[in-house]
Amino acid sequence: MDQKFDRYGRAVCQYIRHGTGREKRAIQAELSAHMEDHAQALMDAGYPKTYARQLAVEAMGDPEEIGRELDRAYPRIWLVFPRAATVVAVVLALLLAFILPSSLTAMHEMVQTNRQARSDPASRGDLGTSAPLTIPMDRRFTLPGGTVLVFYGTSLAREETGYTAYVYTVRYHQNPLSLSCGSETPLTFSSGEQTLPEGQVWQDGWRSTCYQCYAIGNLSPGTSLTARYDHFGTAFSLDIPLNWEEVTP
Amino acid sequence: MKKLTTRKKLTLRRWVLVLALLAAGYFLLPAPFFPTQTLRFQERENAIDRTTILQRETAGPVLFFLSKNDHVLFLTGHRYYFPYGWMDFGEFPLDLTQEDGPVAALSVRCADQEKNWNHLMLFGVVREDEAVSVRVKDAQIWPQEGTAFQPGDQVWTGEILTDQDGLRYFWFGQDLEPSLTALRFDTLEVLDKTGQVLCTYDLSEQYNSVSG
Repeated sequence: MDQKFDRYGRAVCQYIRHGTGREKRAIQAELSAHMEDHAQALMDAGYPKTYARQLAVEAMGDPEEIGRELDRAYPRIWLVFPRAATVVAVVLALLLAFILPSSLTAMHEMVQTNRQARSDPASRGDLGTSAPLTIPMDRRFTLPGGTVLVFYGTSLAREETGYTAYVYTVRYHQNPLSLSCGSETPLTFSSGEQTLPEGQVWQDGWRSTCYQCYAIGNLSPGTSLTARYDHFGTAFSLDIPLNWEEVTP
Repeated sequence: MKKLTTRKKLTLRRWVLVLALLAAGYFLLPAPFFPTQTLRFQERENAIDRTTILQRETAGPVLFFLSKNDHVLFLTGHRYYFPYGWMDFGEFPLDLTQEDGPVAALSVRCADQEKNWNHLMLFGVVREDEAVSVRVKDAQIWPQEGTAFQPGDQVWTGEILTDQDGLRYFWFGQDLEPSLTALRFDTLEVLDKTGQVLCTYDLSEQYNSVSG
């Protein structure tokens, strides 16, 4: 680059207060190119090279005036905005990089667990009740909020205090990535018109999938059992099948 | 020399990148960005349909929503913890289908011992057309000693509001002395515009508490 052109370009750029190094180099290059073209035109018209270059510089005008005009085109606010965006983007990217791997692993597990609950909840086992499921069921009820309640099996066991029925349920959310499958299902159990006392409840599961097994004890042989749900405007009942003929002597 | 991108284009590209990262975080991270996300979580937790927010209030460090649907009046608390986002700080559904009486209500005490914050709120619905306000009295406190708080003097009133669907409800509360473990009002009275009591409601079994 010609030294005269270079000096002119630097003189202009010293009045651009908020230009980045890259922007100032681009401006200097643009000015030099303009002056080169002008000098070349003068040389083509017969002017000597040195004189043509001097005339090209003089024709540009006062560098301070040019510089102050260009300074108005590069306000500070438009320097701050992209840099602020860069800072925010870097912080977000770092946060995502730290948190995302464990989050994706958890999401994968949630989807797998949810899928198991939809297709084969009995494969979850006896939930620690020691009363293996003997009568499979598949009755599904969609609750408000998108949770599906499934009654997937029962069993009946003879114990010291009488017979105990175990009712296996699972709640899963229709969105497998939901963080909730709802709090403990407000089920009550009755035999005819008589409400039976609450027994132990076993729970298992996580986030969008929750397994529960209800134990209803002190049952007499041949007792019928009905599960009832009545919660915030949603109500239904379900007769629970029990295999008395296999359990009673 | 390669043409320089204008500052406006550069700004636009970088903020689009920021938005893309925020969108990725919104969909892929479990941390709720907005308190309404926590509200939807609380609705799922309680197996209730989507609710509409009637009012929002900030008390101490907690943002509260009073929302409703056809079956429930729902008070929920939300608190922001960086970097976990908005977290659940209590959810108190009032079942509108179970009680047919002229009024149904809950009282909720919220506290944060670290921040010395203690707050009691009352909310409910009123089905008396002539009612304009409610009054609570017969306060019980714990502990009963070591506090200047005089339960016998405590009478709080709240205005009855009407939403666009005609639901008549109330929601009011006050900060409490931090040393009080609990304050419970046993009686709620529904008043007409002359101050006459239209009906009363036993609040003694409707007390709830949450602390964080």
